[in-house]
Amino acid sequence: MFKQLILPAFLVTFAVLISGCGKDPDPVNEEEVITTLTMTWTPQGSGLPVVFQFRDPDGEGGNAPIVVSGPLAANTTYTVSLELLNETKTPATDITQEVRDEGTEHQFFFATTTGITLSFSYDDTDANGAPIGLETTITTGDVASGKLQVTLRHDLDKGAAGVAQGDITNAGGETDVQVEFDLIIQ
Amino acid sequence: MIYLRPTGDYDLTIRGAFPVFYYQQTNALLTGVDLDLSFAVTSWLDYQGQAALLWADDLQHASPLFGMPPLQFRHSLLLHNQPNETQASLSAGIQIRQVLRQDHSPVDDFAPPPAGYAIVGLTAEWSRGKTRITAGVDNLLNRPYREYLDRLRYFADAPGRNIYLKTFVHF
Repeated sequence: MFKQLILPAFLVTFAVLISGCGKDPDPVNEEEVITTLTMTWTPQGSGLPVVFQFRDPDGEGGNAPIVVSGPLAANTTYTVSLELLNETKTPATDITQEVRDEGTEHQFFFATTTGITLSFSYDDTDANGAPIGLETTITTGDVASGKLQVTLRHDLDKGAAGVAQGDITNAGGETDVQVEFDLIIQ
Repeated sequence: MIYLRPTGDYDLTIRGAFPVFYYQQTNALLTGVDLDLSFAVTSWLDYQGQAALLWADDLQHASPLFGMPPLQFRHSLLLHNQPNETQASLSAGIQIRQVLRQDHSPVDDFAPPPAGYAIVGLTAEWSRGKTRITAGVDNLLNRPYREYLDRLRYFADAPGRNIYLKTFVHF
């Protein structure tokens, strides 16, 4: 009885394979293409904003990205906002809103090399009241220089220990953005 | 032959910096020997040994060829009963896989070849009629190691101890 089923089963599998090759696969929900991260530091009180930007308008491969950052003032509190763009399209698409809309699946993390004091606090929340990180308040410490790493995780575990406080260790998920800026606090 | 060559360069993208490999064509000479040895120690104990040696050179660049498996040895001992047609067959075994460091490798790489290692595994099997159940442990000693052929070796160790139980039913 079962042996009689084997030949039809084989033929069905074969037929599926053949037709599978013949037509285009259904489009999958692709990860957003992100080419540009702009981080705007607006000092609280007075002063001009400082802009950090990672820009790779032709996407991965091709021309090397352009990374710019500016000096920050020591012991100053900045309101920091992040903007994401896909510039492979014309006009460029704003990915920022997409990240905000899917806030429960996204979170930014910030890390510095040792010797730099920056204190971060998240100013925005997703539908569940957990932080996203598109809007943050960052206070600089004393004069120092090093690197600042900005990471955007997708499909992470926002409930894991330390994640809501900005600790990436237990976050898991997939890295959408990981960018390093030269950081000078003067 | 066509192989994947590490360039030594990193491609900076918005998701971080990635090591760059290129598929490249070259003339290569691969020389190797596989040795297999198996015999019954007693009526209930089998030994099987294997050795694999490969020596590969990139003739065009007069250098060792990238990404070739290092010298490795496998030993396994299998204990088993001798069932008649109505009895269940039972077996249990231990496997040791020893892999040496790949010293015949090109200098251009993102990291030097990982150290040699030896991994111990256990297996057990019960089968009767059309049903077969196997269980086993890979990397019994939970030894951290990295495999030269594995491109994840640049980032992380190979999997640790893994315990499995499988059931096969033929119909």
